[in-house]
Amino acid sequence: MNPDPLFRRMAYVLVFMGIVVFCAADRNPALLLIAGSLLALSWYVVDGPAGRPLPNWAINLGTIASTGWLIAELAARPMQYLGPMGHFITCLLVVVFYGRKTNREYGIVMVLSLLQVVGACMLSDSILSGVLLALYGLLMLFTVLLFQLKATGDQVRGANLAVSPGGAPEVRPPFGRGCRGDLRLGGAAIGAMIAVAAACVFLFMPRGLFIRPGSPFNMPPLSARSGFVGSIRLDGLAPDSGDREVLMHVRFSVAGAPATLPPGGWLLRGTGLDQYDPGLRTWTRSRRANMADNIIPLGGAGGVLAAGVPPSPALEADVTMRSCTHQCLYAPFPAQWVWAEGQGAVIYGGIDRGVRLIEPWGGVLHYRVRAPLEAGPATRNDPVPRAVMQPGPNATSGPIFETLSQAYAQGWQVSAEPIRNYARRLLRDKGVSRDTADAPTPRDAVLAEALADHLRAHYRYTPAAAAPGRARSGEPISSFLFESREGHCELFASGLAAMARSLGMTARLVSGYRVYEYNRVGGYYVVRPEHAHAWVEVYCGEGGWVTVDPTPPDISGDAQRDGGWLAWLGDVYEHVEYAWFSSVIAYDDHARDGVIETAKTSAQLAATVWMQGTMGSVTRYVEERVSNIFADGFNLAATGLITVALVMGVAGLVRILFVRRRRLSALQLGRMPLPQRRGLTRRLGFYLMMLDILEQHGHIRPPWQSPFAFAQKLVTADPVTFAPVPSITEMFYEVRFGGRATDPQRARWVDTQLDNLRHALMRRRAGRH
Amino acid sequence: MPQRHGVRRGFEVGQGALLYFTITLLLLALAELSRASLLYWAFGVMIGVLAVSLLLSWLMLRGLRVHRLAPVVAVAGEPLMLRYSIANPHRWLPVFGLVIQETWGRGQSGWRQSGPIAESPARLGGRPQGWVLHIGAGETIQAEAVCVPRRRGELAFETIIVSTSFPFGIIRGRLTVRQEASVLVYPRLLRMKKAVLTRVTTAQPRGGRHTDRSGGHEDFFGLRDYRPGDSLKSVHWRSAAHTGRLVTREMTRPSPPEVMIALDLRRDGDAADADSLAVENAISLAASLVCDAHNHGCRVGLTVLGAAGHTYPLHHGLPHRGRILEALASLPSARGGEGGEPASRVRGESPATTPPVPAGETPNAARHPSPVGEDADPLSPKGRGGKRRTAEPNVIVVAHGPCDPHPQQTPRDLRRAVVLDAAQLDEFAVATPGGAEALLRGRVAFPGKYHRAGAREGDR
Repeated sequence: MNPDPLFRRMAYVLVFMGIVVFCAADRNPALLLIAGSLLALSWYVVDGPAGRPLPNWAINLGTIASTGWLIAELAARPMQYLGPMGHFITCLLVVVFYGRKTNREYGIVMVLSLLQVVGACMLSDSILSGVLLALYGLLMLFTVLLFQLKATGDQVRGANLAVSPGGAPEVRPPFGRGCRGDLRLGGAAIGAMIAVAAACVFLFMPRGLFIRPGSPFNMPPLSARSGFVGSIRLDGLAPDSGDREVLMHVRFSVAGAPATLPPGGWLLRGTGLDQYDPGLRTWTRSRRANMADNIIPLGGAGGVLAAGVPPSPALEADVTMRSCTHQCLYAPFPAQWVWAEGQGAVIYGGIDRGVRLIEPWGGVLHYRVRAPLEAGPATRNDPVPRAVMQPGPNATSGPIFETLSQAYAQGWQVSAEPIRNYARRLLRDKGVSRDTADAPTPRDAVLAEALADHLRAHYRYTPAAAAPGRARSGEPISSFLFESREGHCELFASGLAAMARSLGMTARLVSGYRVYEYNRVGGYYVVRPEHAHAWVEVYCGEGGWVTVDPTPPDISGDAQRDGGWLAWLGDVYEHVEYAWFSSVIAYDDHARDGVIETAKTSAQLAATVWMQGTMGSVTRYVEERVSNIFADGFNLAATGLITVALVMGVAGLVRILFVRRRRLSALQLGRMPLPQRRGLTRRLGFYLMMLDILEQHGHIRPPWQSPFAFAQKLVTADPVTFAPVPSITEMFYEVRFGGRATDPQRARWVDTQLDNLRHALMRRRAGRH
Repeated sequence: MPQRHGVRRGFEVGQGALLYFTITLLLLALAELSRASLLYWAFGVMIGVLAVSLLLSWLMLRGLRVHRLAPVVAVAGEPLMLRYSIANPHRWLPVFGLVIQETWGRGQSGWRQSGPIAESPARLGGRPQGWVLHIGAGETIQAEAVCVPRRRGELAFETIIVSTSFPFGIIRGRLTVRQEASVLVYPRLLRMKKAVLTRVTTAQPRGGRHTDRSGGHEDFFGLRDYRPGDSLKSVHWRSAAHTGRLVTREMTRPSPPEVMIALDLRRDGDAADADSLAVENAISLAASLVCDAHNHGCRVGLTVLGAAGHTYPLHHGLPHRGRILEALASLPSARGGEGGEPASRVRGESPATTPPVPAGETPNAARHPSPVGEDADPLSPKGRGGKRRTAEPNVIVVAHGPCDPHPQQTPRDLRRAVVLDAAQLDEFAVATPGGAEALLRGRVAFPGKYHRAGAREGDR
């Protein structure tokens, strides 16, 4: 066995796999295509039959070019270092593979590839990355094993050569029987041991052992296209709608029972934007709103944000944010109570009722919010349930609130007169009116709904921006209301807010997400960046803030996917990904404590069962475990199913390897090169069939016995029954060692012989009985 | 096996391990900073790799049995193949990537400062290393390590280090086994030019090539009574007719050419150490001549002028050749070395300044004591048992410098000897890699063949 050529092939595959992992995480198929092609070409150029490595100056030039690209990319994309580093490593790997490769270069290549994959781990948390990462780990394991053997041999050879340059004979390393098989089995065992050790470290290692959350050493969150914006800019460009990557998993429940989806979906509030800057054409959060912020400490049982809420069924949202890119905590209504994992306190907006984290939080965040749900049937014109809440003891309340809210979200200066006239005309058409000096009353909600009805009925929703020329020529809101009459949700919300505020109402924009995509397998809602949305909240005095969504409801027409098995498969895939995410990606100290507690409980329970040792206890234990599983929900069951599937897959793989090894041993092909082995295994299948037939009747050839000796033994024992065996064995020798091809005629002959043997053996068995 | 007493175990951490630890810490830092769970997984994998490395490198070496199979002799300048028998006693655990290394100094901390590598000049260019790719469970396998001895003399081996860094090369498990052995390194053997021996053997003043023993088919030797079994062709019928009883005619045996080699190590007392190379060349030339003469069927003998006690009479045979080569290998080096005499003391002729080297001083000489006493004339025509010889031996004087025989110190017979100056080694011999093995294993030629071939091929 010579590990050198095998290692070189494995190194190519490993590097290619590393590039695949990175490109999958970076979502960069172009880079994968280019780098993969160049890597494949390098095999022909360098390691091909007439291959020759490129000169050193060319390699150095490539390295310099890669470095230049890295610098340029870092300059162009500040604060984004993982992508450029991955690109740089990819280039470097490709360049290195065109040069002369000693063990040192191979070591560098493997370390670079590992770093690249580490970067990919930080870039993506999808299950695809996890699967690719597992494959990469497997490849890396066997590559490192071969590299270690190769490097040891090269080191000894080098030492011997240095001792006696040109004088010492080449010493071939001895190896025992079954070297390849031992290496495969040993590699598998080593991989299993490493996996167990890694799982133990992963499960029981406390997070934040050295760097506590919230410390200044924490990395800033990676930028991602979440679709959510902290301010809305109406500059004529289409809003960044993000992509389809899952951003949040949300479970809504009312009094412990799953909440039904309202017709228009749930609206997850993000930030309330009350100030419009005509110069920048941007909606932002005003300084007045910032002044009303309160820091609410959170204990283990969460923190109460507001009080004075009439007792009503509480809607609870259990949110798992896969990538917390903003400080905002989304809630279906103005939250009354919040609990966030790993957070000691949150910021609560006294006026706009928004909840935010104190520090940016990178990565997974799990939190729960609870809000009072106002009962009442939802109508088509009122797709979103209303929530009413007064300022509570922890919020800015009383006189301060009144002071702060005096000029909060009021007034409109941009094209105020045309917009007011337009709004008045619209209200007049509906038979209602409002004076600008009127105080906020619950009637304002009706008026706002009337205006929103008009927008929904006569304006067209389009996700693209208005024509840039038109949008840039004038004020975007006026242009939307009077000229284009089409736009995206931000323009709809801005138009309604402008009309409402021009009529003297208190109105603000709210940015967040519209949630309507339900996973039927997992029983939760999925929020994606493309679900980002904006709507309006109108202050109605005693009625509180009322949500009004002027965007035409047809955008949420795809609230549910079409049925069918494809949709079901999509749900299953997403749920598997969710299980992966919740059990691996979102694993943290809280989950670790749970695992430890579960382990303790299980151990105690098992000890109890063991001590009692009665069947009833076992039954109770099983029942308890099963009930726990069902109580824990589908996640645990899905995880169990995945585990069982994985175990079965591994068992199947082991069985395939075992059968393959047995076949190779039976055909004496163990030391043959792989390409020849494949062809011969196929051509010598008839001999394996003969062995199987004989084995079924209790005639097993021991490994130490040659086929010829085995045939002789059988024929000597029973010449009639085993008459076909010598001829088949002879043909085996002709094909195996004589290189004879098998034609159809001989194949038919072999089939006949095998049939004869089978029938003879059956007759023999029948005769015995 | 005997090494159980001197077995020590340990671990080594190299540069690769430092790099590995660095990457592991980097991963931990990144995981802590970014809170990416996959990085915690990756960190767990790194920890697992470390644990598996430690465990396997310990398990694989546990109970491993190593035994050195060193050859008895070797030749300077030629590869010396050390063989090791390694047994894996485990029932299920194979062993991969074993490196076998020789070391000296009892395996303690100071082992780098001793042994044949640390000698000056070094006896070996480096530590012999061998490696085994794989040993199956319960298997015993033989591994080889090559070294090239640079000097003649006794090469001692002390400690074997068996190590493996499988599976990941991070931690190297080490098993140190104390196991002593010694190999006698013959002087460097060169391929002699044929003209040298031809010149010597054809310069014999007498033409006789016969021994004074009967039993051959050459010339008439004498008559004796007939013994049953004698061929009738050998019956001397005339004498039988005279005496009335059967008389058998005896013929002489053919005598192979005889070469007596005189290695002249005498030198003036103020000779510089720079002559050590010439002395070694002279010893090497003498050894090569011995082998060459033996391979051509010559009876060969050796006397060392300047080192009393080293005299071997004319004889032919592998044990005889071995004894001569052992004696040459055991000669003290010119610079003096491990167990050797300083060169200035060896070179002197006077017994007062050059004490004779007792025959039993070296272990090899003790096993094969010189058959001729110190007082015997090394160039005496008396053979073994003091029988008269029919011809004087050819004498080659191998000197380590320009030959300047002194009348008072040089035996009379040396004046007609062929003198080879080791300083002009290239004129007599050719150094060929691997040539020593051919010389030592060369087939012995028919006694007369050499002369015929020599006459034909001459100074080719």
